[in-house]
Amino acid sequence: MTSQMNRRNFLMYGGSTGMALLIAACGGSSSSSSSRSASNAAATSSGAAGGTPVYGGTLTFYDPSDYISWDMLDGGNASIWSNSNVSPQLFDRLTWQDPATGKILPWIAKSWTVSPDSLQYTFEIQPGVTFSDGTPLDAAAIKANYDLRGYGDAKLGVVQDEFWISYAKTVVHSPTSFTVYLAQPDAGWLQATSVYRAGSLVALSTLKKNAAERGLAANAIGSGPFVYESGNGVTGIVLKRRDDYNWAPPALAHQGKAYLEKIVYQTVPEENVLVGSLASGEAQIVRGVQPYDEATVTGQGAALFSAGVQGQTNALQFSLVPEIVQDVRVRQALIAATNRQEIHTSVLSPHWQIADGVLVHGTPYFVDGSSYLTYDPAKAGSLLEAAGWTLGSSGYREKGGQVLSFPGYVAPFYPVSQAVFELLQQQWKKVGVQLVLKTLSLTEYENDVAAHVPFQQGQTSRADPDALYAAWDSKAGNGTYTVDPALDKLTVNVARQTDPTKRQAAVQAVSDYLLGNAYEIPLYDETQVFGLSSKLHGYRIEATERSVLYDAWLSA
Amino acid sequence: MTRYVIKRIVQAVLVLVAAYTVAFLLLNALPGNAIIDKIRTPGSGITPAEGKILIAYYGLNKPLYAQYWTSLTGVFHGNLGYSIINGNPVTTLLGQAIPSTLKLTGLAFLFGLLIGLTVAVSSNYARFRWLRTSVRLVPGVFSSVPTFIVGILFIEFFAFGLHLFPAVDNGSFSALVAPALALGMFVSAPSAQVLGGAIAMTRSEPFVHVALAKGASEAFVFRRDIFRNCALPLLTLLGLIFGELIAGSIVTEAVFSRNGLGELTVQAVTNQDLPVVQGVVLVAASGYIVINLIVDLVYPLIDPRILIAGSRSRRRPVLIGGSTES
Repeated sequence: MTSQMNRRNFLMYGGSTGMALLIAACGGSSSSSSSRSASNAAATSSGAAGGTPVYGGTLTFYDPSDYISWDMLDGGNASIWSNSNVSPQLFDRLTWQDPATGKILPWIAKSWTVSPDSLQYTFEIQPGVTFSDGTPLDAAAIKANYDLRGYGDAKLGVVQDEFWISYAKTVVHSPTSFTVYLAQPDAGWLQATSVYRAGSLVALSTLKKNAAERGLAANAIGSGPFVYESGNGVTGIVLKRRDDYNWAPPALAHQGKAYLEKIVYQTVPEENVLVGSLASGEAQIVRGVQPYDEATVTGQGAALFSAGVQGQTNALQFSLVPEIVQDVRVRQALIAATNRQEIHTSVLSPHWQIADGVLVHGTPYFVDGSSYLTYDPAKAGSLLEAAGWTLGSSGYREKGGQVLSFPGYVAPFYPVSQAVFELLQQQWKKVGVQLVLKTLSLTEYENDVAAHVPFQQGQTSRADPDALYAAWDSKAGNGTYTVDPALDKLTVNVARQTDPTKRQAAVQAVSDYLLGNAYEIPLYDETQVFGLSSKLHGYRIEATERSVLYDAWLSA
Repeated sequence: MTRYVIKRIVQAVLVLVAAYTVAFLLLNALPGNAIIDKIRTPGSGITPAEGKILIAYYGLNKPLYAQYWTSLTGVFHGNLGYSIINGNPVTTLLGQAIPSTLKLTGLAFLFGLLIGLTVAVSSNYARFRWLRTSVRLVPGVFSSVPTFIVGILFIEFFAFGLHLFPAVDNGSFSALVAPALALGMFVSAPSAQVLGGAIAMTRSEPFVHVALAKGASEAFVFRRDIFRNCALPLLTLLGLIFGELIAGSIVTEAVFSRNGLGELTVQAVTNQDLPVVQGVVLVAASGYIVINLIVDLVYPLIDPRILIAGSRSRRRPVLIGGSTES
């Protein structure tokens, strides 16, 4: 009898305790459903309302990727999303680009003049700027930075920066003034001085180090509002405020030292943990919220922040080497068979924008190419018929015994790529085109995808139409893997035209050429979605959607 | 005994050099590496001429035997090279990752042992038959639920829900408990099965019946006779558990955002960061060698019938279901 009583009591008490714990655990996070989201492409900051900024506090920023080398001389390293959301806090640049208007504004450079032939840029810089190791950020330091970017240095393992191909030399006149000489007119060069990956100013002691040492977080010495405090720089990094900072871009909301006292960045590879940390208050910013996680973030009281990453739209870019895509009608048919709207509603979210051309909305000199991009399966079918591809018994089009089939390489660096390709597979099947998906690891992808692949997914980000030159000119990115003199002439024109009206016409010409000849199939505006805690105010991004935390502050 | 240990150490060094060499050859036989991948990445803006500069800078244009000799001599000087991806010395990266993984696997092993022991003892000694039967199901359940599911559930309920520990590793001990428990649950299964079976088998031996008949309590018999007999099969299982811990730690470290050997390996392999991968191979080989050595040295302490090879007795060592080392 006693043991039976004990067993019943055990079940009763044990069961109710368990239930209580379960209920407490599930209902633990706040369920307020206020969801602010700033998805307007022109939005550049959030959380403006909220009262007076407060000095102090520690911000925690979770990122899904590891951090790699902190060598700012390496454009590829510097542009990775994880590192480039840290570097704007550590490094300053000569100029500041307004993300909304694209205008180049003063920063370390107080003012500048451009010679009539657009080959000489003379700068006056703020006096008294120092790197965090105490050394002066003067004209000589800037010259050292720019010479390395412009010439490279084989002994240090530095290659010439692709944004600096027009660079000739820098002449120092005084500690606060210098002139940069270009070898040819370069409409995008001034913008390059404002870009985190091409224009960050690095302390001289770091510039002298070898590649491995430049990559260490402790050597990431700049003049920015925060400095490296601790962390291995691979799975995380901790920054602390630099109290004597006094040279923020005049365009920002305040001057002097930053509000936040510390920023803790950490790698969190698991998506569920990333999203849940925001709701539980462990993190105030998370990067890389995927479309299917957005409802979870807003449902738990946090906000979503997204903006198009200016530059090229995320598109399938054709290589003109394989025979199967050399007929322009085939390429045009594939554009007509692609339903951008369906991609947007099924795979993406309202925080992403449909691609309307070769450039992301908001990019300076944006042109609308949507007239080339109408979804028209009937037109696609007739184009393919005219090109000799007729529907065969397999359900796909055939010509001379060959099936109209393309390999679709899922890009490992775009998280939505798999879903997008799967949808394309269905869309193209309707017009008789076969798309065979290939999902490879990052290294396999980079080894396999080359000129023989009919198209690959890609985009170059830059808040300047020079992104088109960088991607398509045969001397630069050579997107077609062939030499197209007509295209080269147009892209070079975009890079050289310094007169705004003429440059706009040049960009229009490139857009018309690329889309008229169907050299690419725009899919969506490249976008990055951040999750922001409701306690965070003053968050802003710079022109290519990298976080700027100088004006950010935390409420209690 | 000293001769035996010295012999084992020399063997260990040879094995390490062999492992390093094989890894070097295999990794360099694969197409591409971190530098070539970086050059070829679409949008890197690195021209072929510039690519040659980088390849020369990292010494990748030297003949393979020269690269091998440089890195091998470096190893003997304690220099394992630098990560191509992030510039850190490989020794630094390993020095940060190994303690973290050791803490995790150490505590997980302890948890696994405790759970396994509890299950094994309960399944044999518990008063109620329903309890004994249901406890025997536990190892099956623990080994079939993947570690990452357990980990994510722990985080959802206990970290985000009850705020008992941080979801992301911040170096504190409380951040270590949940991942160790998740991993420990997974590795408790084989030890629970083996221990439970060993206890049951030993209990049915005649000498146990004799002891009980003489008036000894179950606890006394367990302590004196059964436990020692069970320790041997458990020791044999140590190698398997060690492997499971390492494999499981990769997933656990990813789920709980811990900076450990697993994460380091995954990143290095994904990015073809060869110096780091070579370093990990060395660590893995060393770990295997050390574990084997410990197991072989501990065997004779538990079972005096087992002799170390080369000892004065001329009898061939009799190893019961253990390592093939002789």
